[in-house]
Amino acid sequence: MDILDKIYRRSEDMVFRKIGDECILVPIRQGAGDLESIYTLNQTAARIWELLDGTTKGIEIRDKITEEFDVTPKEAEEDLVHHLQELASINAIVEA
Amino acid sequence: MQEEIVNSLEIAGIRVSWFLDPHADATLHIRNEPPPPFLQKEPVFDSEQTWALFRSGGRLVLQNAGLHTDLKPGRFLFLAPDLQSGDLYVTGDSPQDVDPLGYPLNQVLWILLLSQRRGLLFHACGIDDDGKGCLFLGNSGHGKSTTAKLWFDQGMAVLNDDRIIVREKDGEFWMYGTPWHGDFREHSSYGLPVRKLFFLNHGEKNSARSKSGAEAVSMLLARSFSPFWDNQGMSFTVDFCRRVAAQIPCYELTFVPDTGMIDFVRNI
Repeated sequence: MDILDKIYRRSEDMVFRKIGDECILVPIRQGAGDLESIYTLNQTAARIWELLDGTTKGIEIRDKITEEFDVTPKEAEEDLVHHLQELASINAIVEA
Repeated sequence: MQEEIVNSLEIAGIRVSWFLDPHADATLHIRNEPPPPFLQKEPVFDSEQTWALFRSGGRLVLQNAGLHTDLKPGRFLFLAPDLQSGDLYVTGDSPQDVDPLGYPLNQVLWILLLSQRRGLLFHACGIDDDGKGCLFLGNSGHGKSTTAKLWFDQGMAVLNDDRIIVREKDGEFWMYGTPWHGDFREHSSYGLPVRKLFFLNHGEKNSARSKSGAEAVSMLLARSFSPFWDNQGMSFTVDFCRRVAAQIPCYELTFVPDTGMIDFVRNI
């Protein structure tokens, strides 16, 4: 299935706080490895993070990003796919 | 001569007592015997070296060795879920310090108690510059002990060169010395409000760049001893850092290790 057809939700093992236009993500963990892995999401990534609510499809998120930011649908899609892959790689999101 | 074990230990206004004390934040009972057998160990956090935290029989257990190291733990602190009471089982080696917990159980216990909305332990050097609290944060090798010596030699009080606790009091953030020093041994236990906060780095000249927002919060977290295993405690900690960064001017400071640093910091 295309990543844009999937629905993701934020992991419960991730503490996040919006600070200004950005967002801080801190993974909850059981081991000392990666203790310095604290992530900062830029404005677009922070908005994508907000929209990952477990009910909204990737393609709907792309359309919202296109509406809200000065980007083409193609640029929004590229950005979204990139951020979804990054967030999945750090287990910040799971498929709903 | 062996030092006498104290009856209570108060650091940053948080008191742990080894006898019945109505003002203590936590009361511990010392048992010079092995702990009861563990029916199960549900890992909470494993430092992979000097300590581990796990759940067993409804209690939180802190031991002075990682779960999968060759080190044999000799001290086990069983804590009630609210952290207000506990039993310290001591076997084998004698305590390393005047407090029976010893390193690293004492520091981890304070991290746990601070995470209950009390404050945060930082990897930092705290200087009392005539009543103005300057907090210099940095990980190993960033210049905390060097900074402590420079200011101490100019007559300023050093709260600690390696571990500082920050707590919120009367709408301000106060920093407190701890007994857990680094290479520079002078330290004091009192507290004072933090007026400036610096992320330290050695450099070829003195320079300061303002830091704020998510970047400052991220830098604070990376130089803290946070309860990374506990969602609720970590949520408090991130909010705490956000409030610190919003209230106190934060700077990334590169410095040359001479007295010129002191005037430079005072003029910021």
